[in-house]
Amino acid sequence: MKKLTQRRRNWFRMRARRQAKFSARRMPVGGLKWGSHSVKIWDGAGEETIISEQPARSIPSKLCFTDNLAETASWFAAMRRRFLSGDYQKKVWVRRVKNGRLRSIRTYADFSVLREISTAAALVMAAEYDRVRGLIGSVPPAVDIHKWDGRILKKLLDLGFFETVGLQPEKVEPFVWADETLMTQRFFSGRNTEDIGDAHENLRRLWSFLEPEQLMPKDVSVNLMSAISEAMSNVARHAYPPDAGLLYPHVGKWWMAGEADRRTRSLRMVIFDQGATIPVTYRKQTLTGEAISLIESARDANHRFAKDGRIIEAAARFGASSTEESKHGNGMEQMKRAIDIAGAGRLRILSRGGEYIYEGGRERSNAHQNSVGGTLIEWEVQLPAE
Amino acid sequence: MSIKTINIAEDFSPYPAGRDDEDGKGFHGERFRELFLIPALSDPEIHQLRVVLDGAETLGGSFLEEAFGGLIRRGFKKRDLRNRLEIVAGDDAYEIFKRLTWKYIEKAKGE
Repeated sequence: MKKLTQRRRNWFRMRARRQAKFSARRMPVGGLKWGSHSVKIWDGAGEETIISEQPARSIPSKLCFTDNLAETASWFAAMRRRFLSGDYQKKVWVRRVKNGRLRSIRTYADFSVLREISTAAALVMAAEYDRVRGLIGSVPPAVDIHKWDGRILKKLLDLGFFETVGLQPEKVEPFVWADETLMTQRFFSGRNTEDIGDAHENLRRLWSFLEPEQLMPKDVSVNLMSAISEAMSNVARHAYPPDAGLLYPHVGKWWMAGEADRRTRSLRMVIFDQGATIPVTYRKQTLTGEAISLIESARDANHRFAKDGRIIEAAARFGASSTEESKHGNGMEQMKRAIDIAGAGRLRILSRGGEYIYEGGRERSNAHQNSVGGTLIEWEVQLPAE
Repeated sequence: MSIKTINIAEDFSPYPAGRDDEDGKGFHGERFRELFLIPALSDPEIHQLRVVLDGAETLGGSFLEEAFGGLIRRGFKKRDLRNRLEIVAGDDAYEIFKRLTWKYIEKAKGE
């Protein structure tokens, strides 16, 4: 056999490298799509067949901040980068027809592989789409919606995801009955405390779904609503300061959702904002010695959000700094009290990479390598067994 | 000399929330203080002001601090407020907010 020249060997090597790179790009996602292929998009009005120029992007099969936090937060971070990096205002999701050919999109997230999405994760996703809609004027189309898991599609419809992102006209009725066991409050959003009355009406209806014969105890109701009003006030006052140096542009809003589950006799209210986060804003205050000690006690210092959990815990335990305390109501204290008064339940705050949980009078915190892209506050109230 | 009663839920809003206009143009603490508390406390004919918390659906710390703690920043003396202001919590559910209101008054610093 003839010996290969060095030049020929280099040529083979380069070709092998190119092919390996190409086949990696053509790896199927969800076992369905290869390279350029046709897809059906839905923009709220109707379906249309178009071409996706690249393979579908991967998406976790479970989007949940409790059971799959790292993957979920990481996927949302990538989504934000795709939506809002560079010259995002000129972004065109579906390219126009040229020479009679089908319209096209570059790529899309393959939601057909999604099998589970929590209410909190759906809320964060709706907020991301809503922000894009506010900044660009449109959102990416829903692709191959007929292939989506029926439960996912139903949950997003129930929560009003498609109305929130402008793909469906807004419904007047704020609630849906997902089934006999679960009542879901559609997403709604605001910028300050002006919508607190609507939030109360939603809470009242969620409660009556669990306890049709009994009004919500006044102490539980007032404390929970006061905590929610403090969360709304925090968004208006602290989440989006002009000097926050946020990674992405914002629309200055909070988003809220709720659900009542008859099987677990639990009621959940969630509020999310895309602002500066507690670890960032709290560190800017003049902290007390005990707050600094708690923050510095964070053991795992291997990543940039390592202290975030302790910072939220310090904010919850010690509140505002001593110099500013006189003019600050302690919102976090009220958030915890709402759970104390309810008797059983849990407060969970995810802010940037930090996680804080208050349950049964005990506090604990964790730090994660991925940011949730803002602050997510969740109250879960457990009703006594029947 | 008389006693004046203000019921937050009935006379102002069942949903008082937030500190000032930055929290929205709704029923915030500064508005309650300027429209209700200060005129009543500035009236020499009123020797006692009763503020009833019962019926309010929200009583966030921001609202209470700005409305009542803000009185100290507006020049009212803590001693006078202890004598002339009565916070009423008929329902036990509001007792905690009554305590919170007095805490904000005691911690407030004059400007």
